[in-house]
Amino acid sequence: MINFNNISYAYPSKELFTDVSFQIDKGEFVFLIGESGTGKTSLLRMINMELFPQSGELVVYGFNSRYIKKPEIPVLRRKIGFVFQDYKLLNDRDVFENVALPLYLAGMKPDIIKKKVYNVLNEVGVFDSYKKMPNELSGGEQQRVSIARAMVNEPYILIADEPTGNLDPFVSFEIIKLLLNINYKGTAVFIATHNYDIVRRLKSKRLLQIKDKKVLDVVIKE
Amino acid sequence: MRYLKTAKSAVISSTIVIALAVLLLGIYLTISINSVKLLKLIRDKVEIDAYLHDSIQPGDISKLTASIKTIGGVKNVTYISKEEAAKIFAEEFGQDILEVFDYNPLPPSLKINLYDEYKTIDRIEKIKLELQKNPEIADIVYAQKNLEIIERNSQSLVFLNLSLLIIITFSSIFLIGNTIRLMIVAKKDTIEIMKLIGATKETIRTPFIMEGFFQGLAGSLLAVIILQIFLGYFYSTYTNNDFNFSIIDTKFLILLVIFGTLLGTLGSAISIRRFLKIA
Repeated sequence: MINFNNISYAYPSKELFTDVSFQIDKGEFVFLIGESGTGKTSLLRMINMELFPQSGELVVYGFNSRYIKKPEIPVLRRKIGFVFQDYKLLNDRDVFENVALPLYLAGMKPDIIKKKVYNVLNEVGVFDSYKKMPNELSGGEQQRVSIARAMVNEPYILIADEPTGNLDPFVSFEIIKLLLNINYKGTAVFIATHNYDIVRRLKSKRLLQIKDKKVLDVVIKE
Repeated sequence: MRYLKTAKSAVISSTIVIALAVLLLGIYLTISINSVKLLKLIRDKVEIDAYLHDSIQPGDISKLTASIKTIGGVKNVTYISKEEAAKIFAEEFGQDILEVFDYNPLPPSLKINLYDEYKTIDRIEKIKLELQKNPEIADIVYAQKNLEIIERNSQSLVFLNLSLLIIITFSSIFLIGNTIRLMIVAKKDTIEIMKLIGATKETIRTPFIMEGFFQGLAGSLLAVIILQIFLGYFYSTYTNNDFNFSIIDTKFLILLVIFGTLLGTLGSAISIRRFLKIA
């Protein structure tokens, strides 16, 4: 589903990855950990084709980073659900409209949009707030709305960049439980985090670590 | 287009900016057209008066008239007798010349009309030289000072007109472009988020361009309405028998609306392009 083959990437002032290779398969739940500044966000942005590897080859759902054409990038992005640390909700519209946005962009009919949005809001537990504006919600609720927006298009994979970064431990774990539930229904989940407490509690899940410019599969010892 | 909400205050302010820009251009064009018209009116009235000796014989008048008509630039020649001159005096000054002087001191004259392109000091001076060759002519007079004013000012007027046109056009484009850019900057986050969740460039661009189009249309229509009200006032105040104040005609008003609409549309299209460069 997602294939990193000998990827290297460097910013003008810093080299991030050298020869990185790994794969994420359908239905997997994967954590990506690493110290601040090691390139977790950059790696996720590569999957969303916001950044392109300087060498090597990245294949996401058959879209190859080397050959993808600009008009194909939005098509790929609509197949990925992206959750951001700062939620990135549109503050000038309510919860319903925020979640409906990807469906409007996909050109769906209003009645289908309504049905899908209500379902997903119910699923993430913020149905009662569908008329509220983002600034009327708590951090945890905003993140749930952000997850709903990412899920409403039924993506193959949900990518979350530090989804619990701004949340307290209890709410953080609630969000992770929600992501686990989404994964349980078949969607692959790829989470970049530095919340090691959560990673330890879910040690049965696959763990990738960025270290020394490489991405390695690691196993947490008891 | 529901997914791109518009901030009402931003829409209103950019519509007003477009209206002001179009209004400014309309006012400028009205002033420009009427000032050119006024100068033309003054120039049109320029003619040569050739005063003849009182002793001139009727036969000589027709010969002289025919000979003057052969001079290049002369459009037509009209003979004004002493009696006709007295009549004109009475019409203009409201008094009989015979009451003032006991006799008619006004000489007979020839009113010489010229073609427009000959109404310059250089050319009239040349015609004057030709006229002076005729001994029947005692004196030659034309509105030299008026012509001097026109010639001196028409060049500055053309320069002023062009400079103003350039300044107004560029400042309008700059002002509108900046206002629209600010409006789009205010929506930068929305654009960014839409890009990240898979909106195509066309999906993002189209509502902005449509918005620019409608703002341009609304703004320029507003300007044209205000302009018509203003011009109506000027028309009634400044039009008299000598000068007919010109109002910009419908065709020109439509052009102004097209100009404003284009400014709004292009301003949006150019501004949104900047934010969409990165895929």
